[in-house]
Amino acid sequence: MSELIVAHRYAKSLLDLAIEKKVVEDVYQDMVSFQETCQSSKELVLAFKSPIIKHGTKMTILSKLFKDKFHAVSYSIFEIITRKNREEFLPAIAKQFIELYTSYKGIQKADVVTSSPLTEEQRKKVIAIVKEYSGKDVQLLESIDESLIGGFILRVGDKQVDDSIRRKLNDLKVSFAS
Amino acid sequence: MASVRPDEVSAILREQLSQAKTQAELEEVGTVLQVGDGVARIYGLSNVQAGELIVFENGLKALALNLEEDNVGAVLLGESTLVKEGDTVKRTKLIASVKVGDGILGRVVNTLGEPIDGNGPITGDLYEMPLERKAPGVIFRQPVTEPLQTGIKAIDAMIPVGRGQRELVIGDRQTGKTAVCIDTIINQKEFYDKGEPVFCIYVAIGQKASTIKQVEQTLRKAGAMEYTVIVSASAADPAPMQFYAPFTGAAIGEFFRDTGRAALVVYDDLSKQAVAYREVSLLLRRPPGREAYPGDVFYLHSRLLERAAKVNASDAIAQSMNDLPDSIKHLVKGGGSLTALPIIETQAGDVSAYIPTNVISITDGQIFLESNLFNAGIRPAINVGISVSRVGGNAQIKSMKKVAGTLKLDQAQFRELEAFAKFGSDLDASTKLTIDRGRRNLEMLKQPQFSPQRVEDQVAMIYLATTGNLDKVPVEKVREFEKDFIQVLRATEKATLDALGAGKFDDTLTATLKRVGNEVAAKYAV
Repeated sequence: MSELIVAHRYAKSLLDLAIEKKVVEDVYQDMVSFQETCQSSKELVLAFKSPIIKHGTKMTILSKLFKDKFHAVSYSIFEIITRKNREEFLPAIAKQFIELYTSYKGIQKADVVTSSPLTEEQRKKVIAIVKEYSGKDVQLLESIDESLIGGFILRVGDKQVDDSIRRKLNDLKVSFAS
Repeated sequence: MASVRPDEVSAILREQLSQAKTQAELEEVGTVLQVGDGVARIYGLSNVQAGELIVFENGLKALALNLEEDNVGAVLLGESTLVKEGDTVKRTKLIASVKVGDGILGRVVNTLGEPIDGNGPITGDLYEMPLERKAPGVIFRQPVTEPLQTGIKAIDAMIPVGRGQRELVIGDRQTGKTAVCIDTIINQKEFYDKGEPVFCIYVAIGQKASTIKQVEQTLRKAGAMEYTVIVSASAADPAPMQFYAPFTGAAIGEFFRDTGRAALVVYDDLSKQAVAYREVSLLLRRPPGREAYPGDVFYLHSRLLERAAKVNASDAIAQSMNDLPDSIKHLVKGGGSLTALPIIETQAGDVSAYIPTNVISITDGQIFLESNLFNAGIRPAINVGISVSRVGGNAQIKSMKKVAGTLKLDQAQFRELEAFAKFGSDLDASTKLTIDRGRRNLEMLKQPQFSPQRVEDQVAMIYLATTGNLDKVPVEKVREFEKDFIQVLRATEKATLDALGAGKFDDTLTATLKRVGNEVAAKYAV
């Protein structure tokens, strides 16, 4: 879809600029906090999307919210975007930037879902497995889902290992039903 | 019936449980973004291939048809209410296929090859046959030379169909398109009993379930279900199931074709399949073209009908055929064939609509059925003038070729002069003779439903009609005469009939036919 292509273009140039100015970490932090702001405030995203609100007003909102907190490079993307009337893509740009940053840094994201919290030892094991598989540094996102009953689901990109009791029971159900 | 003991049940359960896999595997997954109208948009599955089978957590299958930049469009082969946003989808790394074996004969199956007639699982050895498969290349084919007897005089004489041919049956609603094909299936009983079966596959697309049941009953009553499979995708089935049903039929047919046997597949009907495909394509947001059909609706039908083929008689050549599925490689034999009888329903006789012109151009000829002929009592309502068979001529037995040549010419002349018939006595003798004979031929070509005729009976009757031996029989008595004549011939001159059936045609045979014909005709002379 076109949103992805547009966001990707802006995010890529922002990353290039940040690398050139050697402020990648700062910009990354800014983008993460911007994404968090967007996620916590639905009104903000809606305001970006609204065609009724003038671009000047949107710029004012952005400057009031972020001008003091953000690095100049991060803030520059807001200015360009407002000039180009593409405010609605801002959240997508932030998301794309974070993705591009992780691949630039050689970080592999991995989701692990368990029925009870991971112990430190288990966490180390999971990280070691993912590191061996992907050859990159691992950023582990843990979540707990009691409906798994037992076992775990480990998801790295599109690949997944599902060793939960829920899946096994479900497989049995499907094989009995057919 | 002895009751099942509790220990038996638990023993069975334990056995099934032990077969279930408990080992977790690395699998490629995606997440459902959006689902509805039988189409799902999926995020992830970055390595999925076009046409690959994917499976949801609840066992529901889908086909990945659209691979886009940030999502995958898939059509669900089942109820879309069973899938929710956020569900996980797994790749199977398989393309859609059906399990086929000799045990499938006599069964009613759905598009996925699962039996739906309530008679339990399909028995015997089963082999995976892919739904989408490339047609055999030129090297692995042979020209069509063997006849496929339809048992309908008008077709076998003037529009003959060969084994491996694609002959379109086209006409308005209620003109007997399905009846022609069902008769053809019933007529294959003769060959099944002889031990040289032509296996039949009837694919019902978008029809009422009651109509499909009726067809099954008819075939069962005629003893034709023993060598027939019905693939049913009724109007209540989701659109993807409907447009894939002919591919299931073709896959089943290919199993017989590639194992060196003859098969016949009836697609009833492809206009409904095109409509189902249009629905799916529009939901997948593919750009619409003429009559809102997608651009590849021609390819949809051409790749399906190309799979009808006569395979080279040599086993060695057949075994090196392109795109053979691994499952049947050890069974491949040469000389098999797959004949296709696609049906197209026209609207008010308009054959220049998009789908009819497409399919006419793909097939090797067409049988036109017309409602005015049907209403005039000419049944089967075949318009012989515009029906053709582009390869069938080579696929007639010699005796039939001899007698049918004259019939075709006579009928063409008759149609030209028919308009003058109204003037009655003002005609000269030769015109009158042509018209009289034409009327008798027309009467002779009529045939009731579900009563296909053996080829030797057809040859005998057509010979009498074309040589003027029926001139003494009144027009309205022709059909009665035919019944009598065939009966007498069967009782007294079996050897002659057998010779005609074997393709022989000489003076002694014709003399016998003439003699018996005149004897019987004497009863009807006025």
